[in-house]
Amino acid sequence: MKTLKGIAASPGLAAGPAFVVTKEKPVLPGECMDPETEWQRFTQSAQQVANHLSRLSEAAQTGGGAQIFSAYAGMMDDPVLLDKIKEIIFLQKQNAAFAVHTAVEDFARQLESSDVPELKDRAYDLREVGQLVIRRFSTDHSADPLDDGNGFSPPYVLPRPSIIVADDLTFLDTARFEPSMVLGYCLARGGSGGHTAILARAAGIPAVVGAGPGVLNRIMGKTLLLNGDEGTVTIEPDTETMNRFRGRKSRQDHVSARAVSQSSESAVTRDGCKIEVYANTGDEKSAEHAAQSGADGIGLFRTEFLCTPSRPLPDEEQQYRVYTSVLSHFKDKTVILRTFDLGGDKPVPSLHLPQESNPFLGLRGIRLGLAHYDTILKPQLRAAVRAGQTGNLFLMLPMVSCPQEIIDVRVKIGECTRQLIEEGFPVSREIPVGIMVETPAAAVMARSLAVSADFFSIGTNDLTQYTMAADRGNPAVSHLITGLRPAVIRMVHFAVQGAANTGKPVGVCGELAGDPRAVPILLGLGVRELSVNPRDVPLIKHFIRQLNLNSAREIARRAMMRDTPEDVEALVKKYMKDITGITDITGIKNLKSFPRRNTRAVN
Amino acid sequence: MIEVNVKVNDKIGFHARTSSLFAREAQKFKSRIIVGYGERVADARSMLSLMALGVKQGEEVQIGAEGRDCEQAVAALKTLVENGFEAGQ
Repeated sequence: MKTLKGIAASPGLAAGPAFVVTKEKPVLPGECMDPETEWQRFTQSAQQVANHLSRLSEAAQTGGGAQIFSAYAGMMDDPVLLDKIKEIIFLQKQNAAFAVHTAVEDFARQLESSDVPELKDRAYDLREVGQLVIRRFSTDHSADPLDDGNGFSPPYVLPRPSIIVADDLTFLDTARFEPSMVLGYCLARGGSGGHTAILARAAGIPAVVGAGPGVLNRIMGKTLLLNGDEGTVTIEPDTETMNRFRGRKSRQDHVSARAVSQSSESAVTRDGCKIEVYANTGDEKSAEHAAQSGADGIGLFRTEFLCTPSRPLPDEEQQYRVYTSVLSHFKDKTVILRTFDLGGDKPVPSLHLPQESNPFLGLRGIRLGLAHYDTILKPQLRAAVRAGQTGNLFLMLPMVSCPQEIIDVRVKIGECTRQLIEEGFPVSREIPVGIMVETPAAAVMARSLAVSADFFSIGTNDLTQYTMAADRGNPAVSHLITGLRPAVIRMVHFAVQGAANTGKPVGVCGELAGDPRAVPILLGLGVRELSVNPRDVPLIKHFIRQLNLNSAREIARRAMMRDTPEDVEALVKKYMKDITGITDITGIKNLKSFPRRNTRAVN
Repeated sequence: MIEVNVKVNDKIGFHARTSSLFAREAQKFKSRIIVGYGERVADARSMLSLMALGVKQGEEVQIGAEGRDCEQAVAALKTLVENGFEAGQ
């Protein structure tokens, strides 16, 4: 038995036989014809390869995979690459294979010499596409054992579900496996930004990369234990190790399965308090996914996701169509639309807004909506009031910092409603208007805002940045944004207290809502609604069912007295066992990425 | 020639997927479009040249265009980058 340590590239556990993939060294054909013919050979092959990649893109199991194939199909249109190849064929009088190889190598070397690690992985992919084109030049396809007779690599046939082991894998290699037969990936080289890692994470199967060349040594068919949580691979485990591994995996699978099967039920704490678990989304497809994953509603619909370069501000009809479609997936459940959160670093080209020197603190969110009411907010309010007659629609305002903003919007909604009634639209339901709590002003003035807002949703992402005065995109200060910050906990506390005697609900829709370490504190402070990624809904509900709210209140009280995020995290860890019976919190975090398909049984 | 500065927020700057989306968008316009990063310049229609720029997260690039539709080109590309390359998907 031997255990090798690599990089944990995709979480999860898998046990199974190794299937080794070895690469043959490609050979460059040597014949040379006249330039015009060579160029024809190239363009023909390039077109065929582009078509092949497009087909692979359509057949891809994951959105991420499809995009990668599609991206490389586009490589064949790259004007600079084509110019280089043309030059080598016509001016240097070299054959097509040499021209493609040289031109591709030129780019590949540029990528390799970059100090961005992910680009080094792309150099490998690039050479692979180049090889695909070159292989098609050879008239004798039978010489290449990897060839299916048409110049393209045939699929690998796996005799049984296996763990794929290789030195490295390109995106083309991964397409040659039947996805349901792949238990996991183990690579000798590679990084966590490589294509294999990305694909494994999207598919919800474990992957370990950078395990070292030793992993390839006479390993075909041997039993492996792949631990994508810790980044280790154990070869030919002894019985004891195997049993422990199986036990751990079995527990993980069991929790996942149970969470998924109960995801449509309400999340109620052990001491009987119901917590609403909503989903954050920004398009119809994702909303549908959220409904299927058991979300109790949509806590945040990011309407600015409807804005695209070709259609920067969808009109009233377009918006009405999308909103009613989303409502139809949720029947009488809550659907909260956030009005366009534009401006700042999310521009609106048609408005020709002057560039701000401090966009984070500028004309954005509701400020922009009110300043450019006719263009931005009015069509949206009209569409929302109309759509709101078909379901339980709520409106939420972003970037609120004072009560006047809410009052102004309510006046405008009244105007729109009257106009719509005059125009003959059926309007009987009044749309509730709530606010995002993301500015420190909103948090500390919550009591005053609670007079005119119907509900609060705490946007912890931006609230943390404004409170800590640090930009999460700035590597020099982003460490101030991470973790369970006591300052942010206090802000949440202010917001909850502000709404306390009004009976108006307070939810959290930022990343903290989906973080099991933060959930006990949030609930303990009095939050009763969490809005998370659709994929996290089953897990968060499951987690809530293990919680005792009284104990959570105690945790929150103590967390408020701590001074550093490390202290808060230690506090949560210490009490996690008491309040949930869960001992391994790393395990919980990794359960967050649910597999998209059924995991194979351990053999 | 019209030029703007754009901050790239996507996790690893211009990688395969994002370069391809950017190049495809650039190819829709008639203007000559370039992307500048530090002292390096790339033809915006070339996905490989964009990748080779090695732009990292949080870095700024310049988008420059020259031609009849240069204003639309620059606006469209700037929006594409700032929307995280989610082009009408």
